Amino acid sequence: MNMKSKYLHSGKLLLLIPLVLATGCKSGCNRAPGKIDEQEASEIVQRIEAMKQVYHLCPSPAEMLSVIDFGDMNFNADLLDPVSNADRYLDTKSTTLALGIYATDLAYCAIFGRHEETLNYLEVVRSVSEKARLTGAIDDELVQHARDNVANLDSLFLMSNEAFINMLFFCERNDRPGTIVLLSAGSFIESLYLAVNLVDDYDNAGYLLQHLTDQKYALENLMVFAESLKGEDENVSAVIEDLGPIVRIYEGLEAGSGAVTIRTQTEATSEQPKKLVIGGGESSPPTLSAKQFEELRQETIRLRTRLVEG
Amino acid sequence: MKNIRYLYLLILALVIFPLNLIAQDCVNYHELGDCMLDKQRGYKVYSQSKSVSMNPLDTVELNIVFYGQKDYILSFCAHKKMYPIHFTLVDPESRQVLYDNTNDRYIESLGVGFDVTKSITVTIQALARTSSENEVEHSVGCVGLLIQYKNYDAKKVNLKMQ
Repeated sequence: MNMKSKYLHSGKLLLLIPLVLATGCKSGCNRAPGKIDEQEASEIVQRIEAMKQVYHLCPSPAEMLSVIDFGDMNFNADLLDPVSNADRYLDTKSTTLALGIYATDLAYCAIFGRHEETLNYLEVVRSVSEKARLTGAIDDELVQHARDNVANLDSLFLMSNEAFINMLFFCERNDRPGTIVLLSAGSFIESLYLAVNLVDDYDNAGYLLQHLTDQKYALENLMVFAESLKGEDENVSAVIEDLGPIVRIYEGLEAGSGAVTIRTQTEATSEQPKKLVIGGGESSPPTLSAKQFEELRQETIRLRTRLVEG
Repeated sequence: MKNIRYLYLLILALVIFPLNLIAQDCVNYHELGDCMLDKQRGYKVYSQSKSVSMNPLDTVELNIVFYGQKDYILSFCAHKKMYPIHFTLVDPESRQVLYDNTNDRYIESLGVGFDVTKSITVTIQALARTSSENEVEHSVGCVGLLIQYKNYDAKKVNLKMQ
């Protein structure tokens, strides 16, 4: 029940080819006898009917960070992985994880509207993406567009998001799910690292803590996706192990009631779609205790430090 | 003469491999298909928008993280032979079906506000009602889900840590 289904789907296409060739000439054809009979065709169809493609998706770095209200915060370049570190990453695993980290730093600079830093991180994302063999995922047009619109805050945010989405598209087109896992893991760890470093005082960090707690959903999706590739890709297996301590902290979260409320706010009209509102009702959301937060902070900093050292 | 030979080979290839079986690049279909007609000013495209290649007999499940305090628009699109599209929103924890578009005559666009962050399973089936049985069995096409989002107008943080 995971990304593997995608590959079963490809297998289905292979099954379909003889089926279509066999049934594509219903009359006037001399089909070789015994190649495929009706019962076999029916079995194939039944197997096809049982096919399900399942995808577990993760938010982009810009989306993970945009949940944080940076309004009263100052840009802190010391939190970022310096662009000068880009040469440290030599193997596939460290390079692809670093790409996710740099993509998140790019989003952080863009959210703060830091023109020069945004362009620097875009350049480093491009060069590291080439090193990770995501050739052309960040093209000249995107870089030029960023340069031309560097004064536009919204444009910088969209550009940083587009850069990440282009890399995902590249991986999908080239059948590299393992690269998506590493890229997403790098960006997840960096967004967590930035968030835990923004918390000065647990007691007054309400909304940030809620964001950190909510990241359990993104982590769950990432882990299910990664687990589906375990054994097929040793870098993915290594990342699953790397994330283990953080996963265990999230698994220990007080679950909350999990209740969901749903109400219809507006019916569909020609101008606007029907609108529903999904809420948590009166239930309590999952919570991150002070002890769990401290553990999460330490584990995140430890893992992130290890990753940026290459 | 050479061109005629290539043309002959192309026609032969099309006879042997029907068009719908030639691999389609569906990766960014939601950025190209009818979904874009729903593009709204003031909304950003969510990175968890997704397009897949599917057969009308398939079911696709997308597990998506929706951050709280945001309005989303979910728009579904496909090749005209694949319509109508049946979709549901399911709470993956309780398996409760939160929404099923059969109750709204298979509408293709839905606005959803999330007060709190939730992981939601979106199931998609292309019912292909205008296709023949043969087409249903043999056709493979792109189906896209474009997700757009924007922050709630007045950010109301109604969740507090306990």
